[in-house]
Amino acid sequence: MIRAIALAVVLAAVLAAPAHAGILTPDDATELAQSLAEAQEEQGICYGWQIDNDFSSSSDVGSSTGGPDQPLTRSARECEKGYVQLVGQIHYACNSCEDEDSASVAIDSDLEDPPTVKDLKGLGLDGGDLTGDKDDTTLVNMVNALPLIAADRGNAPYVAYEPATQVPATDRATNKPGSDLLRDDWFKLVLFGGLILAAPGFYLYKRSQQPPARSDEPPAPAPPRPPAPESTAPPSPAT
Amino acid sequence: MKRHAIIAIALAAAGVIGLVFTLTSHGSVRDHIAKTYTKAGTEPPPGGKGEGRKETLVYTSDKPVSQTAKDIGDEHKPADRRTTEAGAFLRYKDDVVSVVPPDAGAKGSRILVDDEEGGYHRNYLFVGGFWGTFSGPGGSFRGGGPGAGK
Repeated sequence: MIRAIALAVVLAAVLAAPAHAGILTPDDATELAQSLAEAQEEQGICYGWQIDNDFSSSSDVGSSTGGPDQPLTRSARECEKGYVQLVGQIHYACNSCEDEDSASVAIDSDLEDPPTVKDLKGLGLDGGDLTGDKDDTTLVNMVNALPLIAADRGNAPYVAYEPATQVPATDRATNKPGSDLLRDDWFKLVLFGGLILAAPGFYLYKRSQQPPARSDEPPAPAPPRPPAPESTAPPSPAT
Repeated sequence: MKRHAIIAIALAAAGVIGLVFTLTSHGSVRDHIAKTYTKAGTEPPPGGKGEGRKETLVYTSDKPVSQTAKDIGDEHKPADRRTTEAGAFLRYKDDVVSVVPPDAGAKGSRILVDDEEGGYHRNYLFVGGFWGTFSGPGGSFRGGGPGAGK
């Protein structure tokens, strides 16, 4: 009876908990929508994102026109030059299933020369990374890249780049990256290092495979036996 | 000399030559940008001069921002990158490369090469929290960096 009550309480708590809203937290979505709204104001292009998933009841949605959690609305007044929206789907496989997590993205737009998924890949942004540890950063970078690529393709002017003028003294870069040489040339280093290590291994292996050493010269002849001594016994007298 | 001894020596020699060539031919992203793009000038390092600080090197590229960032990233893989509406930022061990829109009226893109501190300072509004600490308002994705998970 006690076990049943405890189970009911746990179940009620789980059901009462707010549903996970996808990849981005509300703060992430708010900041992203804000940056898109600023791009829309400078470029006259509306931006949005809609990433559906199969692990929560709600999608990652937001737009420059409505803010976080609001889908893109394409009013001619606001979106005088058109719209660009990142759409996608994330599929998480269950732990016991054989298939793997997967994700894909596409770009929906009415621009004459819209951004493409290939453009995103060129910037190191792959839809498959939406299933990784840095899924939130990947999504933010993908959506943030849309106004930049739209300008690159001549659809609108660039959003102005403004360097920071004031930075709190306590804020600084952390997690210093590792060696650039290792990142660029790790394959060559492993390959050539492997060759150096393999050389003595190869030699020792081949030597152990050889039969025991044999001399090429014919065996030395046995020393001649000394001649048997002639019999010194006196011949038997003839009879 | 036996045949397998000769093969072993050849393998080791190929490894040593390849290793030496790899180590001596590897250039930094600074070298690559200096050789590939047109230098437009220098600027004092963001955040102020100090011991070991390097001036900002400014270059121009004929290609658009995202294409220039792709070209640099293909040649020298960054440890981390951040793409925003106003530019693409590439992070290396000691350098930060910012590829941003050209000056008004110009075509192509501008490339700013900073040391780590200068790059973080200059691009604080874009990389703050992603590549280091950030005291301003922001979402939970701020706070990452190379090797840092969600």
